[in-house]
Amino acid sequence: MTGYVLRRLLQVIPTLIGITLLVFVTLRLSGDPIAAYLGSDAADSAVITPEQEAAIRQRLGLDRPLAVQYLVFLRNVARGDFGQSFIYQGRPAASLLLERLPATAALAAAALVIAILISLPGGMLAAVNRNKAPDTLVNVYSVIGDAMPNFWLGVMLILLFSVKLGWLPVSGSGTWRHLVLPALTLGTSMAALQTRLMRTGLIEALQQDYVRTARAKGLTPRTVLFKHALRNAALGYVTLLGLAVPGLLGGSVVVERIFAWPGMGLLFINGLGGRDMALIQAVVIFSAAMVILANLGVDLLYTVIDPRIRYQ
Amino acid sequence: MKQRYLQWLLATVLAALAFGNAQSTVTVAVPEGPPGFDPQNNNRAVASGIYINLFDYLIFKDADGAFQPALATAWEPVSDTAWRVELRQGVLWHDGAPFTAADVEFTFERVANDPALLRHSYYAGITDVEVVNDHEVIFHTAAPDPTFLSALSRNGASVIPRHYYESAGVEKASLEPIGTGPYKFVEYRTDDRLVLEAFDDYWGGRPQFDRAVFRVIPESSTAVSELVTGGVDIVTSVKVSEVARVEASSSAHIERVGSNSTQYITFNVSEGQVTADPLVRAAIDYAVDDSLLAEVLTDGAGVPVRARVSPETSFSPAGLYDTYLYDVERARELLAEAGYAAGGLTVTLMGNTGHADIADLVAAMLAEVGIGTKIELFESSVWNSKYWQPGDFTNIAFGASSDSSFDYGNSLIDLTCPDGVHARRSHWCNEEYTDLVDAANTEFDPVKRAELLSAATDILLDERPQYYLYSNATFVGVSDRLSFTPRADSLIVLAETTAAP
Amino acid sequence: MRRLKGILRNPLAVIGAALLLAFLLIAAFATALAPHDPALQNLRARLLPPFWLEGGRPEYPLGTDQLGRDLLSRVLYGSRVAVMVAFGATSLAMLIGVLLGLISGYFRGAWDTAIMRLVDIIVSVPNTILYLTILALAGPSLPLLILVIGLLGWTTTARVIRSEVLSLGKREYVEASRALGRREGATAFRHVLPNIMGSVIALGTLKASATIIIESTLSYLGFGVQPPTLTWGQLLSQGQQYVSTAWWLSTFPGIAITLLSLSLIFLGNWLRDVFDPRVAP
Repeated sequence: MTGYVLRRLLQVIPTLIGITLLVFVTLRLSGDPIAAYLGSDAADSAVITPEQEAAIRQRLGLDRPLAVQYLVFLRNVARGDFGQSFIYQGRPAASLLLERLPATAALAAAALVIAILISLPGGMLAAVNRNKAPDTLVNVYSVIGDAMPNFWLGVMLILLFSVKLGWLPVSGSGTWRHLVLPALTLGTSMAALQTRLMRTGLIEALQQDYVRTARAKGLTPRTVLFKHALRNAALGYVTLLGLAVPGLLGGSVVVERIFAWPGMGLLFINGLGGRDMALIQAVVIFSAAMVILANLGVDLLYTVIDPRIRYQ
Repeated sequence: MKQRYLQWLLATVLAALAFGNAQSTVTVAVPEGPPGFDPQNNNRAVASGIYINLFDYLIFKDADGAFQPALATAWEPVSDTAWRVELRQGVLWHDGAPFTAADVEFTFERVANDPALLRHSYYAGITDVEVVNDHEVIFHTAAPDPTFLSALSRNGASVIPRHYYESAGVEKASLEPIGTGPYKFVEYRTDDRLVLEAFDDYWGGRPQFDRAVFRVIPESSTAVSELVTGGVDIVTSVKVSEVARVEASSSAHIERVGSNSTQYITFNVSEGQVTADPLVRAAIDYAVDDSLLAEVLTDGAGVPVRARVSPETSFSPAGLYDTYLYDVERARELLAEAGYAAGGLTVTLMGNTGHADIADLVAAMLAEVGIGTKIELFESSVWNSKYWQPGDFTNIAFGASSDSSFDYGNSLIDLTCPDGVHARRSHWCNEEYTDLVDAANTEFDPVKRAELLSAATDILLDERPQYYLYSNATFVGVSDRLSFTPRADSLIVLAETTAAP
Repeated sequence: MRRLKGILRNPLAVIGAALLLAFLLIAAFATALAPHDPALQNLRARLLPPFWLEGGRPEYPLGTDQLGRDLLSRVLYGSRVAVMVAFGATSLAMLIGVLLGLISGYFRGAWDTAIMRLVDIIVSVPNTILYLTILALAGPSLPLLILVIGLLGWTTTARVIRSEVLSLGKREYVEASRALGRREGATAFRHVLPNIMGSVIALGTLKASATIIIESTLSYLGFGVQPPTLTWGQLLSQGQQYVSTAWWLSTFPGIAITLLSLSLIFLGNWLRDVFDPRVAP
């Protein structure tokens, strides 16, 4: 077991190196990063002398050859140093990122809970009442959830719940009430896919031989559903929760912007806008690591849920 | 037992209410967070607008553009290249240490000597800050500098504490700043909220609000929603599209303020560009209706101009404010003179995504005189790097510039050759112009200086490396419970903010 | 084919097919259908509401924007980019996904390992973050957007095709074909491909719908297709600034996005049910 986990973790390293290379190359080949720093429209600066440009370039380590910059970068990353963010007056990118994690984690966790609260009963309801009214209703929800852009939904929720009804704060963070709307925005769209997969998984399970056997033995439909079919469907569902991590991280970029939620997504967008290499690299590498860990976690959970794997 | 509990509950609630009353707070929504709190390593206007609450300048320009004493109480030139400045006595830093000449020396020598600091270019001319005694310094400059006082009162002029920078280091000092300003730092959660607390010992008197909170809200519609629901008191930049929404609300209103940011078109005048021909540039000036642009894009609050001029800016040619050239016939004649038949000329209009509307409007106006257009817009950061590369754009670029020194002579430096940021972009290099601006910016005699600047302006009007459209306006959303006066330089001066009468 | 005729018994699928057809026609004939040039301004008719509201005018059926441009025409023109992105990027992604999935599943070994490792790399960065990074850094444009989504969006397809091929590979006729000495590649395409076509179409339809949402999200964040090229995502995000003063500016593009996406999902769900052997109807 430990060996398996270690092997999986080792496999992650080439993946991460591939990702850093991709980001690094796109970043450096796409124009002068300090141009965005100095040449911004919001800045008022009359004269930038070549000496000043050179001094800034040197401070940011941009005066060295690309390959050297990359190697230095890799060495530093291995030490947990993602470099200095130049749009944040040289603060370490790693500490900026760490500071934002709790906010994004809270948002993602709340969204996930909402998604589970919707998709678990929703999927069951639809599967048990297949092709009947509840099923159609759940289907319509899951389809609209997929077809509606998050940012549109978010703004509508603000207008309804905060501006019109005045029930919840518009934006920001601090209390659980601030978390409701962003989590709802992210969670409901996430639930769309999960509901559909829960439904499919359960329908599939209900058609299995052992469920038929259980029915034939005269067990109540309730027992059949909860004891047999659900346990089987849970396997697919857990995979899904693992797969939800990239969706949550990606979705948080949009949601955090709308609701001024001070997480990693907002940091990422600022980094992109300022072409801040250290920040962009830190976010990409970190989110990749999260996704990989989540997948590993799911694989381990399998062994807990699925007896066939456990007994091997 | 029950009664006692109730009593306790009542007492707690009352205490909470009283506490709530005692702690008055003003909350400001800003579109971006300060990058940190090193005022010398920042070039974002929003951050400078916030710093003014934490730090002081030596000299403060009031809303009318007049110099007012701040950390300096008196100043005079001792020679062409030296300024004597007397410092205010009894001023304390937020940590209780006294403010002295050593702080001023440290502040300006640091920024003058480190070219990697973003504000370096404003102060590069300072050769030495001579400490006469604890409350008097003499600034020595390399060349005569008539705009020196403006440099002491513009973005980047915040005085920083020597003892703190030296003991705690730059990194800590820019995370947890100590200043002499009306508010002291409590907490900054990056890009979320900055909490400040009234500084009891402020030399200018304790500000009225106990707490000032700056909330970072990037999405403009979210910020306005906060304003109309009472979540924030001030929104520093309301988009034109949201002005009506604020005005319709029962709890907030819009304050319009002219800004010293000028909307312009930069021409790429290098060889091979159709815009290299001054006649073409003139034709475009005559073809575009500046007043209509200002009307549509700024809801009528912007003012058409023919130079980078605003009423608050000293030495600016007032005759070029609130005026513009627009004559479709003349534009057609100029085009014919340049050798283009109707439909024979096509120009490329470039800018960032935010220039979509202005580009469409200008394109329609140019079509009117038979100039074809191609519009190419880019995502902001892509555009910044494109625009920054010397002349890496075709024909025409949209942009806006401001000048926090409020000195017309300073704003003309942008087009001096070779390092002026706009000269780099347009490839326009006019030695006569550069010499005139350089001469004006070392000339103390105001009459002579005005003459030199006027001659330089004539060259701009004639050659048009840039074509100025209109002076921008800023819309600030303010809660009805406050009285807040926005400034043309977008400083958010909370010390002067009070509860509405 | 017989299975496809069952569409008539599924009302949602019929609606989806009809809507999709309508959008395709609109995109193809946008220039003819649009009542105005979408860039034509009428500064005396700014922010007019739709014609059925007070102040609306019949010549601007869905109202006008801040420069007095006809919203209907802009939405109609926007459909072209939506269709182009959805179909361009999806076709590219499906092509790559099917090809690599086939290679991976059929030849196994080193090919399989290499391809699946590549999949691992791509899927470990959340889609939105990956697309944003590349688009922001390379400078967003329509061709790049299609390329990025196409070149990076093939992973699910490749995985599904691979597993289908792996299960098909054990079937007798494929084995027989191998035994007869047919060339490997020929077998893969002759026998395996037709059998997985259904899944491919179903996957592609759902992928296309997701692509439309991605396009609009990237536009909202400012890293999508840049104006003056009209896209729904852009119209929606610009209209969002006017959401409480001129609701129509964001609502109609939003409805367009949702409807096109819905039509594809309806169709895709039905196709998946038809072709997915596990959940037989």
